[in-house]
Amino acid sequence: MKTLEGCMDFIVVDLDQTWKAFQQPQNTYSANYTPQLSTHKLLKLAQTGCTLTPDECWTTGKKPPEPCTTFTFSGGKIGGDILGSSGIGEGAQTDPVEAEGDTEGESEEANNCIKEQGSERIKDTEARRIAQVIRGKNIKLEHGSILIDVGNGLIIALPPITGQSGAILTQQFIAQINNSGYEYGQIVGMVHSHPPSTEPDPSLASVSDSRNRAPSHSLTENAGDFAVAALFRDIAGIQGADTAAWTKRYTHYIIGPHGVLREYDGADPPKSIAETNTISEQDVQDAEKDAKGQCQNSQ
Amino acid sequence: MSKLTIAFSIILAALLASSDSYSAPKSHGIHDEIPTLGPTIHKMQIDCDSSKLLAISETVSSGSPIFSAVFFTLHGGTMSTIDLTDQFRDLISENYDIKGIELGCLEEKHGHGIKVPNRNPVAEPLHIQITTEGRVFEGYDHAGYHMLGGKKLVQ
Repeated sequence: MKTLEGCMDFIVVDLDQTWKAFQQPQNTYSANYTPQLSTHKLLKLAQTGCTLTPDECWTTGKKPPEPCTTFTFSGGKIGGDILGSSGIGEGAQTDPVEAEGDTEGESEEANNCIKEQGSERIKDTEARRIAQVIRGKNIKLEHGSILIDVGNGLIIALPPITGQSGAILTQQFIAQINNSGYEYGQIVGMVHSHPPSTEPDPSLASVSDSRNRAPSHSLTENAGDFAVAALFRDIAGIQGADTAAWTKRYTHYIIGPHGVLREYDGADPPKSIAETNTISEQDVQDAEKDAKGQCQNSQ
Repeated sequence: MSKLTIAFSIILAALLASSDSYSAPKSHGIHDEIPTLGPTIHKMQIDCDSSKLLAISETVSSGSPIFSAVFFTLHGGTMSTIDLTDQFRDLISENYDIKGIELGCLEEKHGHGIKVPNRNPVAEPLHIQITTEGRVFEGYDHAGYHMLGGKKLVQ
């Protein structure tokens, strides 16, 4: 292996090994490769100016030319282990990219290629599929579907549950999960709809619909989508799941009042929602791209 | 400097001074002054010996609270999860006040106890026992059991 000085100051990746893995089915690649690098490290890698990041190997499907055979990483060499340690499906079971909490410097709605084209891709694909099913239902009612990691790299959506105009009772989900036989630790997200506002005043309805493009929250009560996720996490914890990892793996997929799917990663509210119950337009736009599998690094 | 130039300068200065009032609203996000979608949840976990009970009271919009309970017990090293909601639905009629539910352990390892007050203050509350195996019985008070340190689900 050769070291390319000035190209990579942070990371060692044996791209020959990477290419071998890339030649395997894509699931193998995403499961084996992506979870091993933290978002932070890969962002740094992308910032170095080298045009041959592992991410580009992924997006272009081309073998990198010789000069970038090896990257260097100040903290040590992490080449061969990147590809060799985990088997198919482990990426879906445990995702160090998310579990590390290494999100310093990212926007609140973390949207990056590493997650989008790695372990999240499978989840996003299933979310989009079930969102299309939900869009075919009565728009005036909320419909929700829980995403379950069934192992072997597969994520499935449970059949959508229909609630009322403003909510689905958690007891409906609890009954479904218990009947399904899955553990709460296997829950990796939920896709659900927010119906259009029924407020007669158009300006108030517009404000309502605008806010409801994101998961709901209350500053005064334990209410809304984040409270539901927290309840699932409580049960997962009782059943023995790692609640910190669970929190980071969970994704709120919201079908907004106008039918657009958006993706908000993490079970807990981001700072702006937690503190002021607001979300920026930028985060809403990022969430939309995120759900489509688009990402900032590859645009 | 001509009078015209001076006048133009004054007008320009005045416009610049007042420009703050024309600045676009700063977008810090979308304020949520609207009702929160989703249920309002009160939850409480009570551990009694090797079993746990997660009791949930949830309301949607301005509706009445709805009670759910999930029971967990260790049996032979395996955690069993039982959704008791349907059983409680049969027991807790509209005569009872879910907001006043009290939870605790029953003395002498008789499992969990749930006390549900009657809306009629002179009528008897409901006393529900959940055994360590997750079976549900009514009337633990008649069996002579007492709840230890009950806590209200909805504070």
